[in-house]
Amino acid sequence: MRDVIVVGCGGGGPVVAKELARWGLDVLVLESGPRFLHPEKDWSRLENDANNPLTGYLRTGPGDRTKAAYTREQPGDEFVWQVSGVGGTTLHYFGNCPRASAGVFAGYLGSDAANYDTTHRFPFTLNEFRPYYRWVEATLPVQTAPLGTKEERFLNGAAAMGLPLCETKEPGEPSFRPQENAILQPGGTAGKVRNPRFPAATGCTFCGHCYQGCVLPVGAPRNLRAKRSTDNSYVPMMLTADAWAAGGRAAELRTDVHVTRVHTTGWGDSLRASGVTFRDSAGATHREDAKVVVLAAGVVETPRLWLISGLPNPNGWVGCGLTDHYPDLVTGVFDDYTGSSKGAGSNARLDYPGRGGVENICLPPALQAFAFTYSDSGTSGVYPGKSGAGSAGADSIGRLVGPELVDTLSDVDRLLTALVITDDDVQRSNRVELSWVLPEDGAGRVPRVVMRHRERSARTIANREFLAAQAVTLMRRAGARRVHRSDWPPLMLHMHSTMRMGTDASTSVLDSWSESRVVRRLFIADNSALPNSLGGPNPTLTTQALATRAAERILTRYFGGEPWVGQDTPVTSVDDRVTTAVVARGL
Amino acid sequence: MSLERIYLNARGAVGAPEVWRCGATMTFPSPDPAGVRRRTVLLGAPAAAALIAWSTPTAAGAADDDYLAQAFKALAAYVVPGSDEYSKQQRLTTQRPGGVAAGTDVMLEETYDKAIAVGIAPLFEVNLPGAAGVALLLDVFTRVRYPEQPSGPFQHPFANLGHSQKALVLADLDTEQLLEDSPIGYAFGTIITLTAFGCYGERGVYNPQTRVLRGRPVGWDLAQYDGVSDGWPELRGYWGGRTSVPDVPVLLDRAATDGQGQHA
Repeated sequence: MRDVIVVGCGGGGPVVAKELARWGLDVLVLESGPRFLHPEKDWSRLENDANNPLTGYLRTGPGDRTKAAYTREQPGDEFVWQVSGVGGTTLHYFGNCPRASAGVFAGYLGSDAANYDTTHRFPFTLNEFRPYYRWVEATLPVQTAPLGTKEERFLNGAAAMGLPLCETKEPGEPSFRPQENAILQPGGTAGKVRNPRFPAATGCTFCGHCYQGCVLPVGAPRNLRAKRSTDNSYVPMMLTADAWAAGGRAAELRTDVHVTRVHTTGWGDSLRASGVTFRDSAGATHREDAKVVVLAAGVVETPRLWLISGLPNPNGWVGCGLTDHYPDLVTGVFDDYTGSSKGAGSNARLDYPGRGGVENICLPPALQAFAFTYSDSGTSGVYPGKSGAGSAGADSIGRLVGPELVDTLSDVDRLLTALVITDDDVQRSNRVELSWVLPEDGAGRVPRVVMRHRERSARTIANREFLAAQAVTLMRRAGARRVHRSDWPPLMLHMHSTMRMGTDASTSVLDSWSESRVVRRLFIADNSALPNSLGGPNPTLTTQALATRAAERILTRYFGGEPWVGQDTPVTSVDDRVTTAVVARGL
Repeated sequence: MSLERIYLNARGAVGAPEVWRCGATMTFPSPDPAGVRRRTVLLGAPAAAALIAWSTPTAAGAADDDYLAQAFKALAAYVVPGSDEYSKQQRLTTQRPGGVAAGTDVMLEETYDKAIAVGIAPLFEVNLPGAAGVALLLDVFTRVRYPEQPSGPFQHPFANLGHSQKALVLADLDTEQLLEDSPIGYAFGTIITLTAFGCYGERGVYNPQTRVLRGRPVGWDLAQYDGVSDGWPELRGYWGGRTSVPDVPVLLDRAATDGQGQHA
């Protein structure tokens, strides 16, 4: 029997695995997607090859790309954009690591307390949670982002709006700042020459390929690559725990395996998780038992696995309460160079506590074209679409096609693109459930993802419109000669809260320690455990801090360990001991 | 007739079809496109299969492209016009290669064949999976919008439309509530989006077996993109020279977040 089985090796699972492997527990990590052991050879960084959401190497599907992507029922025009494989969606994330807004935590008494989703707060205070943020920020590590041309433009525009610079890690008022990113700052020749090589160059090389997966600087050991996606940070640590922690034990990783059932034993109040069944790529079925099971398969697959396993759902909230930051895109067209296709994915942001945020993003041309033509407002100049959203002050809204698209995208490096990230409300009707329509796959009924975006709460819609208008204003202050608003349908890049924790047992699945309320020894450590949409900040850091807290709970409650966060000094993922082990073991 | 047979017929891979059946119980209306009303299609009349048959009298078309390639090249020309014959047919061209030359049709066919494993829109009697289903759905919506059958050199009726006519067909697709409620509603909402992604992507000159570009992608020229690189000399420094920020002051933190006796 294993000590712990972790289902999923994305943004959260490796955090639990690393923390518990450090203490010598026997940890097995199961991942449905592939392991990218040599991405420097296997990843082209070409947009269709990488980011085609159905055929690219960063997709939700098996490693064998001759096979179809995983089936998901997606009624409506929402689109889920996740990544399977070791690293999960962090493989294409931008590494942005803002902390959640203070107002989404219990006990918040700020003057703007009523501006948040007050019925779905964290079940503990920010003060209690802050040490876990610090632990993860030191482990990844998180650092203040440098600027490229596009960030200079963006932040100059913000300053021209009259916004102040945020002086700490936690904005308390509308303000701008360089991002706090899980990306190593550039050193040596990085950011200064076109083809830098490790070790002359360290950290971010400004290549412009965060969304295609980070393999740079060329020649760097895996754990020293710039972006701290978990394949570059927590996974190397969990696989080398014996090398950097006294008494540590390397976790075991199995990829291309599908967990098809979570097993339990006992009943009533003594019901507890006992193990999992999984199917390997050859179709063989295996069973592993464990003292604790941690689900970290993601916002879609975790509730699906819960439901196909027939686990209890007494209050009906399993899969419910999906939030996605209701993103939108605003783009400015400039007369001179902006460097929009170069540099990190996003190094600058605006924060509007109680409303959400706006961040600049880096888009190569195909993704920029995708962004220009994804809209719920019809086609610009042709028909209005279904949304009813206004332009928010932009010169145009809707899909850009034909001559308008060709003209607007005639120079990708004269654009400046802003992503609107809305503080959206938890609504029970937005959910993940099981499809009754589409054929089952090898694991059972496939998931159905429902986001009724035209039935969003008034607060969510008002927040989004406000933020879009701020983004338009920023573009004009930054010097844009033309501004376009896309008005995206739900493009679910950030997904959260489908297995939410909460203070109210009638509206939450997890207790305040990320453990199931009805199945003991069953924890959740992905974005689905989040109680809300964090007020708009990007979710990965908070999920990783929550996963760290869950790991601490597992060790203290079920394995007789002692708490360590706030008392020990974390080992960073770029520690020499990790590097030496990574190189020696060919990781 | 099997789905495979219909698929092959739709692609023009087998001989000229007669009237095809999508199922054993299916019957067919009189092949009078002008008599097909949109709601009739919506309510499940088996129009789609018949519509394929109606599309066959025309010759192979000005190009040698098959039915699917015509559909997707016509979409590519709509999103990014160029100097190709599809753009000429829509009467909106440019002086340079556009979405057709970018090889967008290859990317769309691959993508939809991987994405859609079930009949794409049963309510419209479009029970073909994959790229064939998308092409046929586009066919159906074209004929419902333009029952007089726009003339032209192409087998796929959408490819014979003018640019503004195409816009109206795509508007119908974009706003049809029944499609939005289908199990794969996203597939319809992203037709234009995926086409644009293909127009500016590399697929047309990329060999996935060797993972080598045969040339510079058309979209890179259109967007003046500098291409894939291991890095750029883009570092401009740090805002105000700030390379780190302090954590929250403890006093401010406690005053704002702990309250009095309100811990969970």
